[in-house]
Amino acid sequence: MPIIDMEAKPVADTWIEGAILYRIAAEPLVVPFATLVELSPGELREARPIGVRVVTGTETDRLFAALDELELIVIEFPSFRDGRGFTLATTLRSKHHYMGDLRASGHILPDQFAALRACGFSTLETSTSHPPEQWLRALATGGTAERPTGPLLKRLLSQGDSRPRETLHLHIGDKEQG
Amino acid sequence: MATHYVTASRLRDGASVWLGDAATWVDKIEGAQRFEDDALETALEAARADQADHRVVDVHPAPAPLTYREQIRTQGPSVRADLGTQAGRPARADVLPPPPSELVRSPYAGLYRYDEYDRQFLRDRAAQFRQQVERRLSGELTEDEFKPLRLMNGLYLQLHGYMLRAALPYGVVSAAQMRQLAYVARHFDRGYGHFTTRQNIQFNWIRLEDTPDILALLAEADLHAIQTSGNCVRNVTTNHFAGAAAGEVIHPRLFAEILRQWSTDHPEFTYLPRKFKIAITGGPIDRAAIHVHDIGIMAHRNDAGEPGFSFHAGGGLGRTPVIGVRVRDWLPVKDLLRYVEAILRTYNALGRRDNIYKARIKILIKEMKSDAFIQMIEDEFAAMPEDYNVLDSEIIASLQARFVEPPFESLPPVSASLDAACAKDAAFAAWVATNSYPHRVAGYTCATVSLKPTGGIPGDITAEEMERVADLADAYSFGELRVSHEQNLVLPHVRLDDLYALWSGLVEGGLASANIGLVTDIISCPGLDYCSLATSRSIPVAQRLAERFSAPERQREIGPLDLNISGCINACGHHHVAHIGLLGVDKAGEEYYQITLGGASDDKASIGSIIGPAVASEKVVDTIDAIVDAYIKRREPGERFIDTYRRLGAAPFKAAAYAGD
Repeated sequence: MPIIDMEAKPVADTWIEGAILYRIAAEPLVVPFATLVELSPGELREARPIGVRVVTGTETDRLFAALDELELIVIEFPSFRDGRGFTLATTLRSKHHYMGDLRASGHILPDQFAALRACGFSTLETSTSHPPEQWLRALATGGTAERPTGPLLKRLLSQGDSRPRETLHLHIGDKEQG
Repeated sequence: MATHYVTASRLRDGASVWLGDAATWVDKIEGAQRFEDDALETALEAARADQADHRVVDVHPAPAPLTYREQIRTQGPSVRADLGTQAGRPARADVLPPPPSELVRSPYAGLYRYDEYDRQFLRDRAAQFRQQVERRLSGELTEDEFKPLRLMNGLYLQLHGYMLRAALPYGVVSAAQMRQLAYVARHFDRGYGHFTTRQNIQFNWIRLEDTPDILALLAEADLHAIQTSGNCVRNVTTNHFAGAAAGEVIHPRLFAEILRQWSTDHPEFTYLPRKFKIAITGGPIDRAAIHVHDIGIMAHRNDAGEPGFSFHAGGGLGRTPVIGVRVRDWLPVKDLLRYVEAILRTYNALGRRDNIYKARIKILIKEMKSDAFIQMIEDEFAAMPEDYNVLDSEIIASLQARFVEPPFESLPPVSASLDAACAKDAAFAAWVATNSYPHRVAGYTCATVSLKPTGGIPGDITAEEMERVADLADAYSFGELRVSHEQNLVLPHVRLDDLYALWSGLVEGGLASANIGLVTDIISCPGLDYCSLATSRSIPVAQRLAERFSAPERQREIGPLDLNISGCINACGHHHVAHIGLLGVDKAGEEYYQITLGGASDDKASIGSIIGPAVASEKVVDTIDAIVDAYIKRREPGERFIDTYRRLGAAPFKAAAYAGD
């Protein structure tokens, strides 16, 4: 299904899903989390970009250890009511300073657009029941669009902070090397 | 034998409907068709097609003869013969009078002053919900998808229709807001509301298509229904005498408001494993039941005299009642949000999602062992950037400035006119003794309005009564009211000199029951008369108990006693933490009540113990009477029921309860 960015604009998707064995090819490759777990960090250092697909609830320490090699992390929501993906995304961005593409996938609702963005997602995979036009509409209607301000507490907490409002919740720092 | 009906709830207004002849839905059971076993599946399939068409929800078979629950669904609440299908469902009037919000606001009521951002935010949320309701009615959203969205706006589907739960943040409500609630009750509901143990108000007869209008009306009075349901951080509760009682370390409403603003629409914590309840008390006395909350916060001072908090986590009632674990002895005020966030992040990542009965934080703490859980919170807390979400003194002062201190007068600490009135009128003196509480400002008192009259429904209040207490609050309490978790109202700042006039106004309105803290001040959930989860009717039991103990002398003789009733294991009536708790259970279609003794929700919080086999509904009142008599016989002078129980244990009460068996 079409991939969109956080402005609900279509994004060209060059990633292919597959097993690590097809390593000769040059296309960016998304592997399942189980594959990532089996590999040593050295094996991930490839010429081709590597991404991983994670279902929330999996043991994530191995994921955190491999972040430097990953250009894409797809977080799959088993149900839109399962909010673990929001905490995983926040943890990746704020605690581990992950700067690559963070994509939401699975059962997600246009009503969650603002929350997905605030937790640091950069793209999302739409579905047949919630195609891109529904996300565009969610963006256009007041309640879901990111507000320029916030209640007094949030305005005060963000004072003197030049970062865009939607990342305030995250406090993304500079990515650490090595 | 035709063994089953097919029933559902109508999407538009939540009314129970029944599959009749020719595959039509009818309102009354008399027109319903019964199906043979072999035809039932086909009928259900046809009915579910209507569900897919978005005309009905929750299609299910109902056995014939009907179960007790389904009988109540066909009629209406057994305690209100004037409501439900049994009485007909009037249509909403086409033209409504202008709402009270177009008049003045209460200038001093202890509310956080909203600014244009806050008001617009609520208007936008109402508009967003309007669009979600439209998408539901058009079929773009399935019931499965819509349900969490409506729950996030406080809208439940109950036995007889939709119930809307509006938040009264930390239980504070102004006279002007109370009039707006009365307007909603009168024009969109059936003329009344129900105050809950979470300091909220519930309306029981709401039509789905009206809810966007109601939310828009509430928004104009700075009220909303956000996060009164769903698996998110719920309305933060506090002590109902906050800011009025003497001796507080901090102003708990301020920090409850800070937590409210932080948690509202929180991007990370809106789809938690389960609902999440936070209570905060300003110290040193716990009147907010912090030990039975997911997070309970108590303010106190350290040795250097600085204010800060101690934290309990993992407390809760429901099917697994637990007293919270103390997770931190001391936290500086500035770290409040950071620490709460560390707890929630740990919980959201690890809380169980496979079983809703095991999804609360209390289960997580139990399964992990509390030391391991505390370590994880501390690790998360330590990993936060130093400057993240720090509540510095300027931020706190800015929010504090939004609470306007009432213009208290300088008064003598005693009132000659009050003393004279008490001497002259024994009924007034009795009301003063039970329904007033010392104020921090000389010459003032906190007055409690009991919503537990004999024959009434605990926590229910009519639109006229709402308007009366609003007028009295304007006249005698700077326009400020509170809702207590015991389901009563409080006028927090009444001059001692005005107390007699206030009481006279309450007497006129039938609102002067002098029973606060006594045996008839019963906390009760709505039970099977309203609630789709309940297994028994708690309200009639509360009514029969109130009737038995109605004599004022008898109540005063018994003294302070907490008696709470829950209509099912979810324990909304807080029976676990009552001195005497009653839990309704269904035994082969009959209502029975399990009795627990020794619970408490104060500083010595404890979960009550079951004393023996559940007793039949009709025997409950005699049994409680016998337990109370056993206490009176054995108590030492001045000893409360709970203290006698703690001294003697359950044995004498058990013997009295089952003496006739």
